[in-house]
Formats: sequence, structure tokens, C-alpha cells
Amino acid sequence: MQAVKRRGWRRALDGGLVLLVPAIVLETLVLFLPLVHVAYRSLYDWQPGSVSTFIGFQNYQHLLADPEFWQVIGNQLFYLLGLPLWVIAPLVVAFALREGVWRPGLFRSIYFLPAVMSPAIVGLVFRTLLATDGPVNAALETSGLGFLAHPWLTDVTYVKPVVIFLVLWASFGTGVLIFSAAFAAVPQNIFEAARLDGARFWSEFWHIAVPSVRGTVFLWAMFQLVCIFLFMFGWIYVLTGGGPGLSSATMDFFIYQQFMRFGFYGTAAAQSIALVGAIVLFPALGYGARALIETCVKRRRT
Amino acid sequence: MTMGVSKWLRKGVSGVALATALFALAACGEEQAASDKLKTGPIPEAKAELTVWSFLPGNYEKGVDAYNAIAAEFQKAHPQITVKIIDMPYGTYFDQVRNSVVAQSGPDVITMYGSAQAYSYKNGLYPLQDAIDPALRKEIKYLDENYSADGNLYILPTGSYGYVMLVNRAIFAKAGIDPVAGLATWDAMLATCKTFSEKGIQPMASGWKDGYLFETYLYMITSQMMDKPTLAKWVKGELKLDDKLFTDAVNYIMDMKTAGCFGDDKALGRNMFDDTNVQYATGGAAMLVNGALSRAMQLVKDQPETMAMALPQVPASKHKNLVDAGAEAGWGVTKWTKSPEASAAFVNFIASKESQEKLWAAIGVPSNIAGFQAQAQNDMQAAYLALLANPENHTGFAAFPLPVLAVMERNAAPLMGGTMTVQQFMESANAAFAKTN
Repeated sequence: MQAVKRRGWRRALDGGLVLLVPAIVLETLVLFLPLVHVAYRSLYDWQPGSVSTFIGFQNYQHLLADPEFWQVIGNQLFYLLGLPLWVIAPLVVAFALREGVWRPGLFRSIYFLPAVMSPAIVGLVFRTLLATDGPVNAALETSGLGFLAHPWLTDVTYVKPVVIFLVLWASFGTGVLIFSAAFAAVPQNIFEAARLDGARFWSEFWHIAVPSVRGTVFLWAMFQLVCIFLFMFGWIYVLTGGGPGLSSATMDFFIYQQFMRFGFYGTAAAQSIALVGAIVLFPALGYGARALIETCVKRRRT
Repeated sequence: MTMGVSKWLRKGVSGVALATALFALAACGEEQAASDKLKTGPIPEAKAELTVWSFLPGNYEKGVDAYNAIAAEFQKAHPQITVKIIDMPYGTYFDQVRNSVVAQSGPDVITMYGSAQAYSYKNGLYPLQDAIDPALRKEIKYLDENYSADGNLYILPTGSYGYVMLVNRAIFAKAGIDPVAGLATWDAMLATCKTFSEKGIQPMASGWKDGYLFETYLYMITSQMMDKPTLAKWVKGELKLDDKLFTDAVNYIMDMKTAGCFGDDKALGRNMFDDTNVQYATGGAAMLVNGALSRAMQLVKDQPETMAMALPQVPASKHKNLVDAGAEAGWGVTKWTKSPEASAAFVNFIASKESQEKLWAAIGVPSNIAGFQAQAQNDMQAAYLALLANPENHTGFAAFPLPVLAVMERNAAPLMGGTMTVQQFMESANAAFAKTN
């Protein structure tokens, strides 16, 4: 049995695993080892440069008892509401640009432009535009639409939806590009046949296009899901500073504050592990939901 | 693939696995606490370089030159030492210092605020109470309030600031208000705010988004409400944030809001830094809270009718005419410095009367040396120096723990916007205060 196992291991090493070794080593060094280190430190009253005391799970207990932590989790879940928008909007536009549009490449380039801009710079621009007495509100007021002017970034009611729309604006072009590539691989004759059968734009979209690129849709949705937890920091830091109060703060911003600003190193380590947990949990739920839906669809067909 | 390559690969993978395991073990090993005793005494003869991080030079138009001149003077006295002052942007300064503390490497000397703020970086700073030149200790102001709650002094304070009201006499005249009478007492100030509001004039330049303005008023008012023993208790951590004094101070700020001192809700979307200065500089408000003399000098260029006055004392003030004033900042020695004696000598040198006189002459930094006789060049300097000379002055600013300040900063706009009550505001701040103990 041992000999068989060893042979299998050697076979794997001589095959595809060889190609993966550099990536595995690199990932281990720059990702997994620091993660293990942070997990280890989360069990301490971590004091870099001084004596750290082992305190078991106290950092986690404090975290779970902290209402601010739950408020931030709540914010993060609210941002998840933007997911359908972040997926469907670029999907529809990529489908519309597929044919019959003048210079679709030009539109794709224009849509893609925000993706190559630094979130810090874009954040600064939008912070100015959306200020209470900024150009957006001024334009609304001078055009007789003053009732639509709001304190976009300083009102608890508006700040999170505004962030959702800004993330849509920033990620939209990348989504359009990815879905355009996916649509390019779908045989044209399927759409032509559907049209001969009388299918319209939305019928084509829902019954042919979406099922044809469902793998890409799922991939993009998972990517956006991870982004909600990992890549919001730049936006929040520059645009809202997590405020007003903590109403727009994300987990990564909260960790940054605990670590960099307050020097609560152990608490920040525990929060980081919680964030990793969330990043694993939510995509796992997504995969679970996808498997469930596909199983249901298969059963209905049989 | 040949067996040779396979064997090599297996060895390689095993080697990498071993190396990573060793790395993990090393990384998880206990960190050693650095010594808490700063070596002082004669500077060794061996050549050495001191790296100094500071955000202070950037605060002044000719700040870099002025601070480099101080470094050059130090080098002249100690030719074996080269001092390299790095002018750091304020916005990211404290992150850089935090990274240094975590990595236990970086500059030899840093600029830092004292008390609770320095305490947050204590793992990277030497206590300096035993490293101060005894002659300097006698003449330096604001020393006691820069001690941390653990009884250590992590910075040697230099320079002075004072939070005063800049008053635009032209706007007061337009509204028919005499500024001296209008700001003579707390009630007179509230009445002045009401009069301005009724005339459609913004009384005080205001911006709550970054929360700094709220903090500033809080420092100004709590300093008035603390006598010396109370301030000492606050600095030592014996006075807690749930003391009535702090809630009363917040209520005084709310009284100012009710009186219309801060104008309309547009202030919720403005920051203190930059926005309120612009508001005042463009004639959009009659008054502005200001700390640094250098900024007041710039604002006089835009509003020549500007004069400096003290914020009136709140009814519960323990003082006659206190201005919230303290050291501009301070200088700390890092625990990883390779030249402790030179670093200790440098912080004493920059805090000395001679260095501070040079900084006043070059860029107009008011000194924190007792009995410092500065020659004012203009009315604003004269007014500011007179306000700073008040022996009543002190501040509890640095003793506010960073997490408390962060909570107050982020809750300032909701409080001023009416979506948070004073009770909720204080509960949130107290929860943050509890985490620091």
C-alpha cells in the first residue's frame, strides 16, 4: 500500500505538479506562511518589539462582543446587495455590444477606462464631485432638480448605495470585456436560429446567452464577491474614511484602523482571520448554491 | 522526465518545505523586548548617521531649510555624526511610524505627539525622562502633560501652538458687532452667533466630516474645565472619559450649534483642514478656530482685518482666560537606534533654547521655553504671543487615547447632523476608552 502511494506521489511529481511547484512555493511564502503567522499572533496580546502574552481566544471573544465589528459585518453584507448589479449590468451591455453596434471596440475601451485608473485618484475625484456643496449637487440645484441634491457621502442612508454605484462604475468595463470574450466563443448560429424562431433581445439574452456563458458569469460573480471583501479599502479610505460613523467601513478598513492607527495588533490579527474566514465562506456558499441549482435543473430535465 | 530530474525535484521540494517550516518557526518565535533604558553620555568617536523623521518642516514655507540648519549646527558640535532630516508628509506619517515600530527598524529620531499618542507607539520609543539635560528640564514648558499614563515621557516637547479664534473685524463691523464685547463671555458669544445667523452670515467656519474640528473644540473646552490637578489626573489615566466633565464639554459644543455658530448642514460635508480655512480665507465666515501661528499669518494675507482672540471661557471653566495651548509636537528616540547617545543628544539639542530661538527667527515657531522673549514682527504675532504667554494655559489634548479620538472623529458628523445623540456619542467614545485600559 505504501509503495503504491509513493508511486502515485512520484507520478504526480513527474507530471503536472512539477509545473505548479514554483507557484505553490511562492504562494506558501508570501501568502500562507504570513497567514499562519497572523493566526498564531491572533492568540496573543501581540506587542511587536515587546513581550507578547498568550491569551488564547480572548481577541476573538472581544471581537465577537464588539458592536462595531458587527456593524462592519453588516456593511459588508449590504455591499453584497450590489453583486447582482455588478454582474448583470456588464453582462447586458456586453451582450448588446455583441452585434449591430457602431464600433463596439470603442465602447468597450471607454467602459474599460475606469479599470485602469487608481482607486485613490478616482476616489478623490468622486469625493469632490459628491461633496455636499460639490459640483453634482450644485448642478442639480441650478437645473431645478434641487430636491435630488443630497449629502451623498455624509448621510448614513446614501453612503453605502453610492459606494455600490461607484464600484459598479469602476468594475463595469472589466466585466464588459470578460463577458464580451465569453460571448465571442458562443456559436453565432444558435442566435440566428433563435431569431428565425422569433426570439427577441431579452429572450435571446435569458434563454441562450446567459446559459451559454454561465461559467463566466459564475467566475465573475465569485471574483466580485472576493473583491467586496478584499479590494474596497482604497475606495473607503479615500472616499468616506469609513464614515459617517462606521456606516461605510469595510472589514479591511477596520483592520487597518485597529492595526495602524490604534496599535491593537492582536485584535487586528483576529479580525484578519475573520476576514479570511468570510472570504472562504461566501464563495463556498456561492459554489454550494451553484451546485444545488444545477442539480435541480438536471432533475427537472430528467 | 528522467529519474535524475525527479530526484532533484524531490530534494528541492523537501528543501523548500524545510525552509518554509523553519521560516514559520522563526516568525512565530517570541519577540524580545528591547531595553527600556536609553544610553546617554558622551557620543562615541566612531562616525555615525542619524536619520530623523519629521512632519514639522513641511508645515512651514522654509521649514526644510530651517530644520536642516539646526541639524548642521548639531553636526558642527559633533563632527562624527551626520544628521539626515527627512521631511515626511503628515497624511501618511503615523502609518510610516507604525510600520517602523512593527518592523523594529527605521529612523533614529522621530517627531511624535506626547502622552497617550506616544504611548500607542511605546514599543518603539525610549522613555526620555532620565535623558533630558537638567538645565533644559527647568526651562521647558508643557513637559508634565506630555507624560504617558505609564509614567514615562516618550517625547521631548518643542514649540508651541494655541487654539485661538481668528476674528474677521470687517465682517463683525458689517454685522454691527464689536468683537471684543461679542466674545467677552460664553453667553455673549452665543448671542453673537445668533445675531450673525439672523443676518445670514456664517459665524464660524465649520466642517465636521473629518471630525477634527469637533476634537479641537473639545480640547479647548475640556482644557478650560480642568484645573491643574484634574489635568494631572487625566494625563495619568486616573480621570476616566465617563466623567461628567467630558459630557458637559460636548454639551457646550451642542449649545454652540443650537446658537447657530456653525451655520447650516453643509458643514457636515466639509473637512476642518483645508475646507474651513478656505471658507474663512474667502470671507465665508466671521471666525475660525486656529492652532498654528504660521497658518494665522497666511490667513491674514487673505483677510487683513483678522485678529486673534481667546475662545470665551465656558461657565464651568476653572480659569480666567485660558487658551488651550501646548507643545507643537515632540521628539522621540527609537529603540532600534544604533546611536543612542547621539540620538539623545540630538533631541536635547533641538529642544534647547538656542535651537528654538533659531526656529523662531527662521520660520516663526513659537518656543516652549519659559521666559522666552520673542520679538514680534507684526500685530498677529504680537497677539498670538500674548495669548500663548498666559501661565494658565495648558492642554489635555495628547492624553486623549487614539481609539477615542478616532471614534469621536467618525461620530462628529452624525452628532452634529442630529442622527446621533450626545448620550450615544459618549457611549461610543467610552467603549473605545475602555479598550485602551
